[in-house]
Formats: sequence, C-alpha cells, structure tokens
Amino acid sequence: MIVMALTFLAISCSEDFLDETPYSSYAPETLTDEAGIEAALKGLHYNFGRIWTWSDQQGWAGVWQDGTDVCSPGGVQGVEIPFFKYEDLNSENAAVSYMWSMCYLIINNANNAMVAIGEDGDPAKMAEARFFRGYCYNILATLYGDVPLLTEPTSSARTDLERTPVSQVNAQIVADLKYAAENLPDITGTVSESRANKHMAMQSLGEVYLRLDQPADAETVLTSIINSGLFSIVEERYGVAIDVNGDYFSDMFKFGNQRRSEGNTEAIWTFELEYNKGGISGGFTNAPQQRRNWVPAYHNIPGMTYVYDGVDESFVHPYGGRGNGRIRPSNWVKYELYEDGDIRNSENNITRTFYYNAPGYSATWGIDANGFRVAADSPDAVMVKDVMVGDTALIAASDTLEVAYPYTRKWDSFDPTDQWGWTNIKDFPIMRFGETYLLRAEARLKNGNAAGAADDINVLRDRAFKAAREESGNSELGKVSSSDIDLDFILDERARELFAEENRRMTLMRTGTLVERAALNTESTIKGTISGISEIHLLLPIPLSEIQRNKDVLWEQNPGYN
Amino acid sequence: MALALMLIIVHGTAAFAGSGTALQEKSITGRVVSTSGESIPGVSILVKGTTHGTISDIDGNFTLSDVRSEDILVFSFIGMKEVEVTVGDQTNLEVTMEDAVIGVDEVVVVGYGTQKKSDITGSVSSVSEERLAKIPVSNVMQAVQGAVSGVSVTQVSSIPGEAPQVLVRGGGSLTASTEPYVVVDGIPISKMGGSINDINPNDIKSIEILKDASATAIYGMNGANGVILITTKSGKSSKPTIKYSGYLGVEEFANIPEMVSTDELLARYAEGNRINGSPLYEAPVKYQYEVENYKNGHTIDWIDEVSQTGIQQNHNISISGGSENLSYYISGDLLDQKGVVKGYNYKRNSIRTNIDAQVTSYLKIGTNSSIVYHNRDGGRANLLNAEAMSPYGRMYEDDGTYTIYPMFGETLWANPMLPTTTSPERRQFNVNLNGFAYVTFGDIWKPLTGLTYRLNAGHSTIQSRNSNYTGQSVNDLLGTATISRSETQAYTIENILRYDYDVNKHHIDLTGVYSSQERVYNTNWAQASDFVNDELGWDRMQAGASSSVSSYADRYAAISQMGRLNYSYDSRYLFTVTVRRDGSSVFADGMKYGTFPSVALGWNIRHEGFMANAEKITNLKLRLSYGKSGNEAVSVYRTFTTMADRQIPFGGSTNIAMVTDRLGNSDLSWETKESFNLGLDFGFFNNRINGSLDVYSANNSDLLLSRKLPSASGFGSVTANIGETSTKGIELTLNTVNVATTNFKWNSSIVFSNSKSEITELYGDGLDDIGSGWFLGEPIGVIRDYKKIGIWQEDEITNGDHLDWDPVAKPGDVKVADISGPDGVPDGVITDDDRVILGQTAPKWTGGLTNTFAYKNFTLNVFIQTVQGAMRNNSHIGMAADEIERRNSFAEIGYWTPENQSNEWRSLNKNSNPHGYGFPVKNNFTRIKDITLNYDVPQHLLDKAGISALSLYLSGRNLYTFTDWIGWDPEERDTQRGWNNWEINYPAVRTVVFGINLTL
Repeated sequence: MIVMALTFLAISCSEDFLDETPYSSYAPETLTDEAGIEAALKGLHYNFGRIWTWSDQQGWAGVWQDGTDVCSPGGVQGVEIPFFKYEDLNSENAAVSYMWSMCYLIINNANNAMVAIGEDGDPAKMAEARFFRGYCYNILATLYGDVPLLTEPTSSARTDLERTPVSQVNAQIVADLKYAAENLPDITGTVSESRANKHMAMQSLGEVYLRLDQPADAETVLTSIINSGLFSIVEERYGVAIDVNGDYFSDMFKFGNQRRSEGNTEAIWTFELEYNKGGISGGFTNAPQQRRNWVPAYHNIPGMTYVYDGVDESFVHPYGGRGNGRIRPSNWVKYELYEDGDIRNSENNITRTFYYNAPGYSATWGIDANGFRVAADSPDAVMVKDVMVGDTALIAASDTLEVAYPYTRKWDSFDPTDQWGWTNIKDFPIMRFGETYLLRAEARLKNGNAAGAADDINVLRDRAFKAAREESGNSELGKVSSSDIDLDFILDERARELFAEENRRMTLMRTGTLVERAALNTESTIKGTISGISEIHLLLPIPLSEIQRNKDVLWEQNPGYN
Repeated sequence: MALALMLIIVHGTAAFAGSGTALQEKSITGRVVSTSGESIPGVSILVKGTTHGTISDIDGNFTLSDVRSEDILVFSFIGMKEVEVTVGDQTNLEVTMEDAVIGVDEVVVVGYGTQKKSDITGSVSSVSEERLAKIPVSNVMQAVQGAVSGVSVTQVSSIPGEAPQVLVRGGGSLTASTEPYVVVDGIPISKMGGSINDINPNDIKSIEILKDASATAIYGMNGANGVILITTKSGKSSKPTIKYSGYLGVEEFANIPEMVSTDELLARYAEGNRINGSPLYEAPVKYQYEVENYKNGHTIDWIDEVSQTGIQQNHNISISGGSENLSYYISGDLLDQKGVVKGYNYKRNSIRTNIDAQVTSYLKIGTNSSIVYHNRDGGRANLLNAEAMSPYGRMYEDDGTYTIYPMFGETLWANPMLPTTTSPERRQFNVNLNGFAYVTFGDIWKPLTGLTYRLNAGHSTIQSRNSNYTGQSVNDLLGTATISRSETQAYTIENILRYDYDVNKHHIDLTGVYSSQERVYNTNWAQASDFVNDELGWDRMQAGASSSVSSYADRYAAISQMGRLNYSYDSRYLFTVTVRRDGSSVFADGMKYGTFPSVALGWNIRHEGFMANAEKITNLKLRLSYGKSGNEAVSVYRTFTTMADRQIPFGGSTNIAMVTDRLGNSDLSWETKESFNLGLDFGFFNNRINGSLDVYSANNSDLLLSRKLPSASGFGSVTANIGETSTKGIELTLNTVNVATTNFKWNSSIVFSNSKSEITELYGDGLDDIGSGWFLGEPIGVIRDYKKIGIWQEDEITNGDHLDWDPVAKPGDVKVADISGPDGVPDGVITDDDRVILGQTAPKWTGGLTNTFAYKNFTLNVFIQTVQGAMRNNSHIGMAADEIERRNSFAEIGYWTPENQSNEWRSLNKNSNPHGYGFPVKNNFTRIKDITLNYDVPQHLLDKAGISALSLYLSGRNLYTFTDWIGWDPEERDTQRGWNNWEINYPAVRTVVFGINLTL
C-alpha cells in the first residue's frame, strides 16, 4: 500500500496536476478550421430554428398573429394575452424577452463565426454569418427600435451595453445583407439544401429597404430574384400528395413536399424540421406548437377523432392531426377577405366543414334555432336529428371558439406514430417566391408605379384563380388593375396569400399599420377582443430583465411602456 | 460481552458458594459522597438486573431493604461515573462517586486525528451513539435532523433512497454549493462522487460536526460549509460480539390534501366554461371519457389508486472482536423499502469490513472498506397526474389495459398508472477501498517518542446504470429504449505527520498534512427507438431503427498542505493555530491556490484553582476562534468559454452544428469565508444542566456566483467572484435532567439556532443587482414580489377604483398594492417598482426539543422540530386559476365568482393574475418528528438465555405537522405540469417501525 501511495504521490506532484482541459466541450478557438467554421455556421441555422420551435410558452405562435387584423385568440395559453389585450403588454412578457434573447444569441454566434473565418477568409462563409446577423438585427430593429449593436463576440461579462440609434443599426443591417447577397451562392449552389443562399439575403434586404422607405433599392433587389429564373410560381399539382385530396396551392404545404428538391419551385428558404426517422436526427429542438395552435380541437366534437390509420407515405391526415385551437382566423379573414374562386380559400386550404369520422359513430342530437347542436331532449332543440359516421358534424355554439372553426391547412402535421401530436414534424416555410411579388408590389407602389404593382399582384392572382377561370371560362376572374392598388390592398393580398405563413405582426409593425389594420378585427368573444391598442404598440417594450441586468448603463424604456 | 460473561460467572459462583445464605434478605443503609466528600442527593441505587431500588436523600443517605448478599448495587447519577458494589456482608455502605465530566476524558474526532474534548477550541457538535442506535433511519442524516444546533437537515424528498439536504450554519455562499463536506474514517466521500446515502447507519460509531472556522480550518477549502466526520465501528480485543439489528415498518402518506368533491369539480368546469368559454364535451362533464362514469355514478379515487402501504425493513448483522494484535468489525446490511407511491422502491445491500492490525510494535495497518449496492428499480406511478385526475376519468380500456388519457380529449395528463407498466432499472455500485498505515516512531527509536505518521489512502469506484424502455403501454408507439451508464473513479491520499509532546503541564501537538485528490467521471448514454415490437426492450438496442449516443467526461483534482499547532497548559489554556494551503483545478491559471489561516483560544475556567470549590459548576469553558476558509464549490471547467455541439438536418441528413454554450471566466478564484466564533461550554449541578452556547459572525467575500448578464451580450449568465455577505448567528444546545428517581428519569434536550445573513457588497458601487435578485442589506435568498392585498371586486371596478391604481385590473383579479413608481411614490400603475422584499427563503430560526422519559426498562423519546421564518412561493396556488377549471384540485384553494366575490381567491379567468404574482407564503411548521418507545429486556432474563443485550422498540416518524401550508408538506419538493421531472413529486410519509437490537 505504501508503494501505491508513493506512486500516487508522484503523480500528484507533477506540475500539471491541477490543470484543466475540458474533456467534452469544444472551445471557440479550436473551431477555426474549415470543418469547425462549417459547424459554427450550421449552428446559426440551429439557433434560428429554436426561435420557432419554442414550446415553453405554447401560445408563442399566437403572439405574432392574435390581436392583428387576421387572427383572434382561441384556447389561449397566456403568453399571447397581452398581444390582443394590449393594455396588459409590459416589459415582463416572456415573448418579448424570448425573441430579444434569441436574436442576440444568434448575433453573438455569428460574430464568433466571423472571427473564426477571419477578414481574409472565404467570403461565402462570411456571407452566411453576416446574413444571420443582418436578419436578426432586422427583427430587433423592427420590434424594439434602438438596440445595442454588437459586432464583436462577447468574451467576458458585460453589463455596460448602450442602445444604439436604430439608424445605425439599420446601416449595419443593410451592409450585412448586401454583403450576403453579393457573396452567398445562389440556391442551386449551396453546400446542401436549406443552407443560406443569396436569394434569402436579397428577399430580406428588399424587406429592409421597404422598412427604411427606400423603395427603389427594394425594387431593384427584388427584381433580381424574380429575374434570376431560378424560381417559379407553383401552378400545377406535384409531389407526394398528388394522389390525395388537395390542389396545387395546398401541395406546397404538405409534409415531404415543401423543399425545392421535393418540387416546390417557390421555396427560397425552407427550414428543415426532419421527422426523426430513418437515421435523421436533429431538427426540432423543442416541440414546435404550430399545428396545435392553428388546428382546432375538433376531436372535442362527439363523433370526431384525430386518430387516423389510413396513412401512406404522404402523411396526409384528413383534418391535419390533433389541434388545440389556440389561434382562430378573424371574422374578417373567414368571411370578408376572399373573393369567390380564390384557390387560397379552397376547402383544401381553409377547411370549414367536418364530417363525423369516429368509427361506428351514431347518435341522436337536437338542433337549436341557430343550427347548433344541443342535447336531443333540450328545450332549445327545434329539431332532432340522427347522425352517423360520414355525416356533417354538428357543432355546439361554444365550439366555434376553439373546437370547430374554419382553419388553415398550412400547418397540418401528422405523425402516425404520435397521433396525439405533441410536436410539429413539418418543415417551416420561411421565405417563398410568392412573397417576392408582394414585396415588389409594395416597392413599385411606393415608387409610384401602381400598374407594375398590379402586375405583380396579378401574377399571384393568375395562379389563385387559375382553376376558377378554367371552370367559369372567365379569364379575367380575380384580376386587379392599378386603380385597385394601395397599401391596404397589398396588405389584404398578403393576408390572402401568406395567411398563417407570414409573421403578420412584424409586417404590420414594419409598415406602421398595426393600429388601423387591427381595427378590421372587430369580433368580440369571451376569448378576448382587441383592446388597449395604440401607436405605442408599433414597438415592443425592452425586456425589463435586460434593463435590470445591464446595470452599468441605464436604458430608457420605449415610450408608453412601464 | 466480556463483562456480561464475567457477571454471569460471578453470579453463578455466588449462587453455588453462598447457597447457605443466599436466600437471606436484609436491609442495607449507606451514604453517597463525591470525591471531595460532599454528599450527593438523588443518586439512583438499583439492584442490578432488577427494577428494585431507591434514591439517595438530600444528605446522600439511602436505605434499601430486601437485598441479598450476592446482589450487586448499581449507583448511578448523571455526570458521574457509575459505581457497582457487591453487597456481601455489608449493611452500611459509604460509596464515593467520581465526576464523569463530559469533555474531560472524552476523546472526539476532529479531523486528521483526535483530541480530548476538553481541549478543543473549535465549535464541534456530536451526535450521540445512543440517538443513532435508537432512532431507526435509512439515512444517517435523519438522525441528525434537528438534534444538533446549527445543522439544518431538510428532508426535501421522502423518495426511498434519496438523501436529505444538509446545511451547516445556514450556508452563506450565494450560489456555490452549500453542502457540508462528509468524511468517513478519514476519507472524504464528498466531491468524490459519493453520497451520505452510501453509509449504512448501523455501521456508525460516532458523528462529529465541525462548525466554526477553527474546527474546519483543517479541511481548508472543503470546510467552508462545515464538515461532517463519520467514524465507523471497529472491533475490540475480546471474544466476538455478534449483533443483530432489525426493523420492520409501515409507511403512509403523512398528509393527503383534501381534493374537491365531484359536485365542486363540476362547478369548476362550469365556471371555466362561463368565464373562459372552455368547451364542455357533454355538460356538466368536460371530457369525453368522463361521460360514461358520470352517467353511471362511478368515481375513482386516483390518489388511492397510485398509493400503497409502504413497507420498509432493515436487517443488519455485525460481528466484531479481535485478538491482541488484530481487531475486526464486519457487517452486512439489507435495507428494503417499498414506497407509498407504487413503483418507488429502494434496496440497499452493503458490506463493511474494518480491520486493524498491529503488525509490529510501531506499525499498525488497517482497512475500512465497504461495498454498497443501490437498487431503485421500478416503474413509478405519477402522483402529479393522479392529483389532476377527474374522479370520473376512465382507468381501463375494454381489453384491460390502462387508458392512456383517462380524461380524454384532455391529453395534458396521462394515466398516472402508465409508468407502472414499465420496468426501468436504476442501479448503482459503490466500492470504497480505504486503507491506512500508522507508524509510532517512538517505538522504533525512543527519542522520537510522540512522533507518528499516518497514511490514508482511499479509492472509490461508483458505477451506475439506468435502463428504461417505454412502449405501447405508455403510448410510445415507436418504442424507446435508453441506457445510461456512469463511472466515477476517485482517490484520496493523505500523509499525516504528528508530533505530541508533553512536559509538566504543557502539551504540544503538531500536525502536518499533505494530501491530494482526483476524481474522474465519465458517463455515456444510448437511445434507440422505432422497434418492431416491445419484446426486447433495452437488451437489444440495435433493433431500433433510430438510435443516438452521447458521452461526457470530466476531471477534478486538488492538492493541499496543512499545518496545525495545538498547545495547552494544564488543560486550562488552549491554543490552536492552523494554516492550510489549497490548490484546486476548478480555478483559473494563476488563481488555483489559496492560503487559509486560523487561530483559536480556549480557557477551561473550571480547571482554574479559584473554581476548585465551585461544586455546583461541573464544566465551564470559553472558546474563541477566528479564521479564514476557502470555497471552491463550483463545477469544473467554468473558466473556459465553451461551444456545444448540436444536430441539425440539411438536405435530409444529419449535420453537426456548433453553438456557444457557456461564457467562461478566466479570473475565477477562491471564495473566502472569514469567521469569528465565541463559544461557552457549561455544566452545572454535576452536569444536570449542561450545554453550549455559540455566537458567530462570518463574512464571505469574492462569492462564487452565477451572475445574470444581459442576454444582448449573447450569454445569460457567468460564474464569477462577486460581492460579500455577512452572517451572524447564535446556537444553543441545552441538556437538562428534569427528574431522576430510581425508576423514573426525564431528560430534555433543546437545540436552537438563529442566523441572519445579508449582502454587504456586490460590485463595489453600492447598488443592488435587481436582475440577479440580490439586494444590499438583505439575505441571500429573498422573495421580491408584489404585496397582495385582496381581490378586485365588481363594484370597485365599476366605481373606477382601479383606474388610478391598476388600470388593467378586472373583477376577480389579484389586487396588489401600488406601493411606488419611478419617482418613489405610488404612480397609479402596477410595475416592477411596486415589488418589495416580502421575506427570505431560508428559515430565520430552527429548534428541536427532545424529551426522554425512562421508567424502569422503558424509554420514551419524543422529538419535536420547528422551522420558522422562511417564505416560499406556493405553486399549487400559483397554477390554480389556470388549471382548476380543467382538472382535479385541492378543495382548500377556491376561486372568485361574481356570486361569491372572494377576497382571497382570484377568478378562473386565465388572466386573473396579470402581474405574475408568485403567491409566496410562510412555510413555517412544527413537527412531531419522532416518538420512540424502547424496552430493554431485563438483564436477569437475558442471562438465562445467554444474551448480552436485547432491546425492542416501536418508533414513529413524521407523526404530525402543524402548519398553514397548503399542499402536501411545507418541505415538499414539487414540480408542476410541463416539466419532465415529475418523479420528484412524492409525498412526505409517516412511518411506524418496530425494531429489535440484539447482542450476543
């Protein structure tokens, strides 16, 4: 034993006995080689994905839709409440601080990557890092106004950050995105599908120019996307879902159909959210809640079930899988927005009717004077009806709030091995070629070219009314002319084309139209009605925790918030 | 054993030899005096092996009739050495009793050696062996709980096999670990991957708790949070002693909060429908699967379904003994617990071997080694879900399997019984191989007398494996298997050189220590899913289509050098100085070493000449100490900025991505604690009243803490050395003998601790750090929140009372005070300025009261514990309004309606707490912690059976708790829905145990 002890003693006396070398983590300085830089760039995508896969607050998706013109709350979770009851919006809201901190997380990671790449490094790699930095600063500038502008990685604790005037932040955004647009490969030349391409940077830059009221620059950059010849509007059915109910518009949003390689010629940026199967791991980091937010809880109708066994590789579920009904389209969207014949409002894209699908279901129900389901022996019943599987489902009056309402099919997501559906398994459509026309229409309108704007809108309308025109023989159906075009019309058209796809709140904050657009959404239900909205809501509050943690420099809160 | 045998022999001899006179009974008188000739009243005089006896009167005189000449009289008195006298021919006895003053001869373990208790200058608490023996515990700290002042033990979990949380002197560090350092037979288990749970309480001979800087200085960096020294039993040179201890107990929930009635549940559903528009599937029930049971009037008590009568049993056999040059102690132990919630099981099997061998006159070697096996297998029922289940929920499908979602279409809460269909294995092996060699140089060469060297070497290996498979029975249609394994290898080497020198009345001892420690940990984890069926589980993971693996490893190392000088003169004046230099791998380069000195003085006033006649004072000692110690209790690798790897798919295949993980701090260094302790040990009236009083103050500086950063910097926090705290406290231990008669004794013991901590500095700028929740002048953990003063009522809102107060308020909302605004005056809105510090999270004071009643051979021990002055957010109330419209819940938590405008409970509106009030409440409690009734079988009965000692006991734990806390228990550890660690939701339990201690 003494020998053993002496041996140990000898070891312990060696000079480096107390030195530390982490066995299981990488240090930023060890990631400066080609592979390390690649991994760091992929890390930017990863953290970007975390923004939209967040599930700690399940109402997260509603934050960006409720309380605008397009959406009203359904089964609320909580975090989204101040986004339609605006008087409750304050600097302690979890959504306010989550978006802020995620953007800065990506920015610091991008700054790290840039240091690793080095000034003389590969411009394409530098461009990918700068794309994410510019993209995130654009979110911050749009939502919060003046924000700290950090362009170097953080290497030690800092509590002395200054809020940089938004004009300076904007200049950095433009510089980053321009660099990215010039140096990133085009969509056919990326290392692998879904990595950053120059058209992502260009579309983003176009949107930034619009926010900065530089429509000429916007039009130029957006035109070069349109003229690149790499993208086209989807006008024919394609892909895995071709044999199931649907149309060429709904095809773009089906599982297995969303990427460019899967036939989607409109995909500029599709964030891959792999279904964890066949050796592909990664993808959803948390439990993305999009389906559960957008799809109503129709399984709460007696005789309806989300359980579905008739699944092939298309993974298409007749009703989209199990929903929680947290976000409802506003009455304006449901009943006023679309003209007849618009494929974007087809039953495949906005489903309005349910048919009993629980095997063997049959029942006898009463129907009240308003056509709602009541108990067969209810005094309110004006008639009694026998129903069974396949019949149109009867809904109760209160079901319209979160159980049965017209809903978008863009966020269908069905996993036959997880039918109760904890998580979304479908890719996120982040940027689509259809939107390029909408952004250019906005630019052209601002440039005084309403006719050109109408042309861009008509590109989308030619697709939207294609089927109806063929059917009706009216080739002018749905066409618009320059006299129709103003900013409101473009915002309406964005809603029609991009409902549930665009971040509506950010669009309305960017265009400064949130207050007047929200006025379109007048519906009043027990779930909540828009209240307390004013011009102050064109910016979000700065998170209180940030103000408090940045103890060495006092930040003023954005006006109107406490 | 030897004594007992001798007595039998003596007894037997007397019986034969004195057969002629043996039956003759007589009366005997006498007087009991002290060594100084004073008479002693109240001495118990008993005929040995019987309950026949008397007690001495005020003059020390006694008379006892019906004694026989072969009887042995036992004279006992608290604080005196017991005296036995054989009656023989005597009829008048003069018995002299000597002081058995605690602390004079008693030797206690002090770290790297032992010391006479009377010569100790530091603050040391001991847990009596008696308490350890008489209170059946599965974990040793349960015996310490509330019994030692200044040591707070929180049973945060009653889960079988989980260790309690221990805090010595209320911590003081902000975020660094505050767990004390645990040393077993000289070898630390703390920081080496071990747990206090690895020690079989039956093997413990003594526990000492070192509290102040002087006492802990010797442990340097490891001493900042106090040190718990555990000594295991060893053999004695005699015939083998065989001992059996065992107990069998039953457990039940200590408290089941009353759940709402079915009528009330339906009323809550209806209110949720009214106020939130929450759908009802078929009124009045909310869910599809409730319809059938509701219509049939069938209800299920889900708490009852997940629970069972807990059973615990423990069997321990030890054999100890030895010869002249060899002694041994070997024990084997089985602990088996079946928890009160189904599937919570724990088995612990342990073997300990302690051997000491005197190899030569100057060399002694030995080993204190143990092997412990922990088994926590079992699919655990989900109490959290049981609590939420509607009594109308559906338990089974038609095919007899559990319904996945009993309240379907609600899928937030799965069937609480589902996990019981799985059979996860959670196993751990600890192997501790410890050895020592001890050299007394004086036996080699006379001039070196007093010089000794001890080598301690310990190696521990901890292996653990957790395996789990979930399949269709828990709605995992793909099937998922996981196995995680971990291994800790740790060693400790200590070289201890000691020199003792006594001349005249001077005593000097010098101790030098050089030690090193290293711990290497690694773990790996594998998961596979998408199996063909559930047959093979984790035993064939390659049968899963999708798999992933991960691993992690780290290393910790430390080097220490220490020197200590003890000097005492005539056991009257005591002086200790200690210097320790510690090096730890966790700090930045150039900052790894810290030096920590301490000095202490002691004055044994009782030993002074002028006290010689102070008969009433048995013991009086003053202790004074000052010292510094270091705290290194941060995780490894905090000095590095690190990147983490993540997986992300591109183009349909998995890629590795790198993201920033943690901000490192290249200046990270020692946290230092500077403390001052003044203590008084006292004993009066032959120690009928004795105890100790300590007052202390401590300053922690360069606190190791996780500081919050603005996330705009890309990081949310960093570990850093910041600020100072100051802690002041007082600790009292008081033991009294209230009644002492022949057949009846009543002893009391009170422990009391009070401490107050405050932050004195943070960043040197005189400012609070609101972002991190730290405030100058306030304790470390505080609750800063609004002041709730009621509920907004309809008429108040109608009147517009809220407009200049809280404009967003609605009827039924929580009403909080508008205390302040940006200008320091109420501003008519509720903002962060209205939050105030409402209380602290650590208790202000704790106390324990033990009463021991002994009547003849019966001993009754009652221990009451109290914890006061702490505050805690009650998450049951916090989540209530959001959830009680759609689940079962506690009846005690109500809600506001327009018809019943409560001023206590808010409405079920999802936004009725718009400011995010946390519902902090005092979690004070007083608990009848233990009651134990012990019966020692009389010696004369045992003698006939050849048994040395036998006692039987019946013991109850957690018998009753007085508290206002709403929930399971004020100390409960609970997690709400939405977190994965639901397994920690386990109630406090009440235990009743029958036990037996047998010595052959």
